[in-house]
Amino acid sequence: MNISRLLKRANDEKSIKKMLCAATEAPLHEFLMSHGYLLTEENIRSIFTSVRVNIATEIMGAYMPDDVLDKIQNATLISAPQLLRRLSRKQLKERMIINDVRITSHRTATELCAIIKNCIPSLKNDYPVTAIAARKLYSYCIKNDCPLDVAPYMFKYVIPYANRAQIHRLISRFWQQYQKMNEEARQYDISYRLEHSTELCNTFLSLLPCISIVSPRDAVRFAHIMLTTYDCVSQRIIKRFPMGADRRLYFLPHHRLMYLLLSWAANIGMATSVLWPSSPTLKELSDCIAAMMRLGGLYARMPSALRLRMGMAFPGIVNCRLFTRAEVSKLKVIKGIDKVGW
Amino acid sequence: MNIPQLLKKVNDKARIKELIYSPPRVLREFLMSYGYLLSEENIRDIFTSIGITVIADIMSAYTPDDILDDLHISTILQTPQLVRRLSRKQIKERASITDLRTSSHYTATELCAVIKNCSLPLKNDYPFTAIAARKLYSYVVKNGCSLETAPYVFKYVMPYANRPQMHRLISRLWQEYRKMSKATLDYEIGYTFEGNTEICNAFISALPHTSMVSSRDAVRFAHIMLTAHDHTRRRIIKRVPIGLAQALDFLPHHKLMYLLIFWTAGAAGTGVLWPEDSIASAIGRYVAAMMRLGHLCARMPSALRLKVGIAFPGIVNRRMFTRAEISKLAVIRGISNVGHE
Repeated sequence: MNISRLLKRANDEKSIKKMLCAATEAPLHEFLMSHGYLLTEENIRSIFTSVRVNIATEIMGAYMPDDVLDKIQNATLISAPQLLRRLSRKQLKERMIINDVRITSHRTATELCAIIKNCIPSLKNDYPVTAIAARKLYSYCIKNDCPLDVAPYMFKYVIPYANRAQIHRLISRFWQQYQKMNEEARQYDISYRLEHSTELCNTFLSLLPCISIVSPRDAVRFAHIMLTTYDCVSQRIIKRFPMGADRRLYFLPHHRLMYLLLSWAANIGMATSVLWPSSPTLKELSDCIAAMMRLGGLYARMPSALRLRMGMAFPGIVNCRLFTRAEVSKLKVIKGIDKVGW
Repeated sequence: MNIPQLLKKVNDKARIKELIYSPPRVLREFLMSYGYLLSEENIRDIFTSIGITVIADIMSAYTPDDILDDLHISTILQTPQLVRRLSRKQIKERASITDLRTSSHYTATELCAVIKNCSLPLKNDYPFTAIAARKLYSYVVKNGCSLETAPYVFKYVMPYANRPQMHRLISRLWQEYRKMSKATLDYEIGYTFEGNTEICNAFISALPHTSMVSSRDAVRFAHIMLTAHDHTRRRIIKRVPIGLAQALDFLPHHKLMYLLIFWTAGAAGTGVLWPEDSIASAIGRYVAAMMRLGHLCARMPSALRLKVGIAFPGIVNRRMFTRAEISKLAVIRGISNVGHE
């Protein structure tokens, strides 16, 4: 892999323009999914201000610049709920769209009741009802301290109906608890575990798209809170890596969140490869990691140190497409020639 | 059908005692086929026996209030149907308001506290949806809502409400219904059969909850839920939910059943159906199933039975109609048209 060449190729203005003017969305979709993380801010800006704003929002919602959001027309905003949820209630009021039915993410529980009363939703549409509960639960959680154990439940039910400001507040509230807990558990050992299709893992993955509307810092905090447990008996902090994440990613989450998950996976990989080098789980995990690294060309954006760590934990995925020539040589020396790229 | 003989057979004390001590399946079968004919005394006997969970499941609409007062709290807590009959005050008196099983009596804030303190499994969305139900309930009771929204409110509020809340909700919407009925006094009444529609499914799924309220409220609930007003054609439309018979694994209030059977007979009588139509015979079978449930046919007023017999001559037979009624129907409809199925 030649990073500078890759960056140049991904940011070729002509080919981006061509994709933006293409008859279908498919080429842009494919391009963003394979090179999205490598785009410069300027190119991201030009995609978001083009007619393909919807597809860019769907895949790279996390990377929409705030100033671009301010300039977007109301009609475009309303057609993309991800964008609406980024705005504050004040911003919506300024744009005079506060009365639109589609901005339910910004309504209070009482306002949602009024919507039900006045708009007669279809019997199958349980969105307003669940949104009411989400609002109430959110207010309660913000006013009263909730323990960390409840965080996944709160996140599962509140985040799908919350806007950016609310999600930020909710995460910050739990982050305080998380920090307190970390201080108390300073002397605990940290261990890593794979989560296979558990309720927690599924919840985390289903919430990931909503996490694109908050800042990368909040996204990383969310993952820490959601995927960390404290075993006070054996004095251990357990970080759970959600297996199957690669199959559920049809968009590009914040790259920093991806780094966090990859570094956890590397820790699992290093421990497992020592104990059970031929374990099928290790093979499955390395496939998952390779897919995550390929997503949006993340491998070329990753810090070299993290890539090297990945290579050491999963020598099987090391190849010239995911790693630089220098890294491959280094890994060959560290892991032994035969063990790289099996 | 000989009604006095049937009543005597069903209410035979020795047999009921035997049934109470038999496996729950046997008691269940008996209640499902003769429940509507049981005397109050016998219902009371079963409710105070070990068969309480079976009867509460099938005939909770018929739980006498005084029995509820005498029951031990642990027995009540085992059967959510009974818990929901009590008021918050009654539960508080029994000092069990902190029990999770009484969550139908919690306020929205208390339910949030339950979520906070109990670390529920992620899949358990009951407390979460109950919060929304409470909030929606309070809003509707305070601010009222239109009749068009009533089915939506019923669908989402009733599964989490207790008896006093359901009563209040139904009463609030009943006021709207009465206003509307007064405003549409000159409208014609028409009937439509509702198959697998959303409203029909919502009605059927909300039906078990109406066993918690009085029969008057249950009837009002059906009126509000199943009546539509067509202002363009100036018609009041009563929607008969077809498929209800298959969904009934309990005995709803008999007055509610009368109403639905009456509407079905009304729909057939207004010429909505054609005599040789396959739908007509399907609806006839559906009415017959409803009449057989808990032996409702023997409890029904003779006038209603006759109305059903006139509307659906195909279902007239000696097990569901008295000898006198059959003779009368044979004269009215013509001998060959009675019991042709």
